[in-house]
Amino acid sequence: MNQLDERERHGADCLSDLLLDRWRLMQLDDSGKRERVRAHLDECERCRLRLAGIEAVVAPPFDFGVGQASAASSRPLSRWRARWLAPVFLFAGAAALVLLVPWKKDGQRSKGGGWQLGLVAQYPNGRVEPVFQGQALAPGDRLRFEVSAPTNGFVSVISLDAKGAVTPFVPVTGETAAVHPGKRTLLDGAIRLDDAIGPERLMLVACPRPMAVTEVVAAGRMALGQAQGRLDKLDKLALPCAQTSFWIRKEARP
Amino acid sequence: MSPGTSPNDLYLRYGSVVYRRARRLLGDEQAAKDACHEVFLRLFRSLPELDRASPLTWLYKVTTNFCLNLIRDEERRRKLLAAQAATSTSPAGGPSLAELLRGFPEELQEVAVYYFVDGMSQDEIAEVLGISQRTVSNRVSAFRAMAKAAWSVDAVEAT
Repeated sequence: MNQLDERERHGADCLSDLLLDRWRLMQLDDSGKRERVRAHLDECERCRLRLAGIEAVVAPPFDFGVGQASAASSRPLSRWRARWLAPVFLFAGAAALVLLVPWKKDGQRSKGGGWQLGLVAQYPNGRVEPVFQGQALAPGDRLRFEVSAPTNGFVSVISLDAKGAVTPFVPVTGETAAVHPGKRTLLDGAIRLDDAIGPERLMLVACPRPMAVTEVVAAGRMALGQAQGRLDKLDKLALPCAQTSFWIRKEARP
Repeated sequence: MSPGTSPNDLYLRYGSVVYRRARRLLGDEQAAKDACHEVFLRLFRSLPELDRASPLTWLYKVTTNFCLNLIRDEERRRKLLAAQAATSTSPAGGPSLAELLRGFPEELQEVAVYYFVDGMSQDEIAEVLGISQRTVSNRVSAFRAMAKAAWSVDAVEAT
């Protein structure tokens, strides 16, 4: 039994992983229990080290494609993923670079005034998947954008990157694109990520009336300048429009 | 969906919990990543029905079940054992979790992992599994009795 029993080796008083998780996630509602955990951690070096170990664990990127090529096809994961992305893959097969079917469930959508921005990536191997906030993508990956709109509006998606570049993604030129109320409206056009590595902030600007894309880009440059090039310090563009951001990281693909 | 319960928020908050747990039970980095993804897919699918302030205990339970199912799978078990035989990664050369739990009823395996591996209290196990503390206690006792018999036989056979 000793070979399996943590409590026989280390004592029944030590804190369980569940309790340590509740402690660090601040989910212990009982103040008495919080105090007991704190007191135990003060006294027990082993549990302090375990807590440090727990806190050091970093979850893998929320990229549903990581390692999936080698996953057993019989696994529930693969079956469910296939169902989940079936409409996407179906169309991707017909139109290699362009995806017109939104994902059924959830990439991530940033929100601003009821407006939401979502991304779909197509990787060089043809795989098509939703993108999550903060997800790592690589130069060469293609992106399409979808918008959930609470009202009629005119939208533009621009990119602000770590090198200070402000680039119109959709539309690339002309005026902001008309969007009608609805969920997950896929915008026309796809972009291919360039070679600039680092964090990138994509901003959806949704205005009540049409606006030149150059005007949106100029507002982006001005805001980035005011934030001294710090993407995270940039607040809003000086435009009378709803705005929301979506962050990605561009990393070289190994 | 309210702020803080979006898939992204949930993953940022609980992703490391699930990944850590899967890695511990499976002893395999890639399998743990796959398990982590699968568990979160299930979580996202279950969000409308989940009526909880925190999904932590739900994630513990689903991750444990998912990993034990993997371990119980014959092919997976064979791969694990082969890999461990090749790399001798078991602590102090001891048997793997799969080896230790082999042959035990599923409900006892589950409780044994929470009690002996995680060091959870019986109250905590009862909360995670949604069963009474008495049932947990009975299962721990049953596991102890079976383990004592099974492992002492193994020891005799090994000598």
